[in-house]
Amino acid sequence: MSYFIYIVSSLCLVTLQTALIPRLGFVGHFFDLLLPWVIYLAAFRPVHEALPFVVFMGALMDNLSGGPFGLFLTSYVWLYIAVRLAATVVRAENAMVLVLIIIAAVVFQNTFFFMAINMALGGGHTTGEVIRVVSEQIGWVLLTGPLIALGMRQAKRLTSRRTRKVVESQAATHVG
Amino acid sequence: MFSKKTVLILVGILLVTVNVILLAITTRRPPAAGIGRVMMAFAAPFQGLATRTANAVEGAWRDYFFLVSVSQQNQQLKQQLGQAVQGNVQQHELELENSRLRELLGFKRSLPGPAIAAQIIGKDPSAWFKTVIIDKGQTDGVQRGLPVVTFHGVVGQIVEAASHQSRLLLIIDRNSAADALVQRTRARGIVKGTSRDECYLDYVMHEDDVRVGDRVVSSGFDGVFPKGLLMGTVTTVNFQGSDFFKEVRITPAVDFKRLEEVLIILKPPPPAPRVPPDRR
Repeated sequence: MSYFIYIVSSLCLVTLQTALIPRLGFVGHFFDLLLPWVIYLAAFRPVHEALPFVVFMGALMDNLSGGPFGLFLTSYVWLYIAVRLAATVVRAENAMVLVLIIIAAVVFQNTFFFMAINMALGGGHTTGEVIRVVSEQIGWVLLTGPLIALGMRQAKRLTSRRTRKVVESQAATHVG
Repeated sequence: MFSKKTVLILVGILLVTVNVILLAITTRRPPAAGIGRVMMAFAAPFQGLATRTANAVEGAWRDYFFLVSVSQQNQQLKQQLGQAVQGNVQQHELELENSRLRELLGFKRSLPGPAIAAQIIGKDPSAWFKTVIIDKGQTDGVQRGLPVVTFHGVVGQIVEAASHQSRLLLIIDRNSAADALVQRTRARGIVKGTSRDECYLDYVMHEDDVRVGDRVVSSGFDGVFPKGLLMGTVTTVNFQGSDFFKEVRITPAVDFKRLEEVLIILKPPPPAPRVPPDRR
């Protein structure tokens, strides 16, 4: 059931990102909408449930992108590991912390892409251009991030409640 | 002396006479003079209050009873207006699409081989690559390597074909390269993408005559794009005396931000004959 929800949600996000947002001329460079998804999975969901799906999302995005295969996949997996480690130190449930993590993820992903492209294909993008793209994306994170963070917190609460109910019912069955 | 009846008659005649005289006097005076003005000033506030109250009650009464029907009518009109606006937008959109498709159709007839129209259904999720997904695939005869064009010029080539969709590499992607000619002077070069909204015309010899505003067209030598399709216009030409090649930047003929429909040329033309060695 979780995987079904994850797949449907990520398809919705991918559609939004690749088919709908590009039609809005004023948007410019929007950030990768799957980044908050990866962060949510890394911060709030168990590894056995989240990691396969992160890999799936990376493969999906790599297939939709014209870049070398593995670019999105690698960036998502590294981001997953980084957020997983960070969640042991910081309190990821805080909305402000979540927004900061999304910003860090946007910077990380673009830097990673920039470096990978430059190494694989040699020069091309200027630093100014990278800064402009990343700034636009951060601007969008600042505008939409708080809402996304609240959504993530709400999703976390819902899943925690559901898990607790399942555990309680199992315990009751066991005692009975 | 007088009978009671006579007195009554005389008093009656006197009253009528006085009344006539008073009426005659008052008709010659201004209407609100004297005591009349005082009375009017006294009555006016009450009249006003009464009138306002009556108006208010009447208004409330009327509004109350009419409000429901007006509100319903308003809702209906809003719905009708919304539908009309929506219809208008859709009609305008269809007109624009029709116009673009007519252009494509006209252009399709001028192409050397059969071609099919396709619609762009998705763009690259990354800001660093310039590819798009189109709604035609192998079942429509689309294969890897086929050239894609529009009425305005060269768009790119198919790099991956699924059964019903294909990925199209735009000429502005840094992985794209196509053989090209400067139309005016026939100077040759390779149009390479930059992943920005411009391309480079690489390998243009330093002695070749290339100027800002020159049109760059496909040469047909690469075996992908038919000869003579517009690729872009030269915007800058840089040349250091010691360089072997000129640095030429071109603005693509196609506005990739507004690209919605494209034509896939199903059977690429055979490569054009090579340029004689004495040309260069």
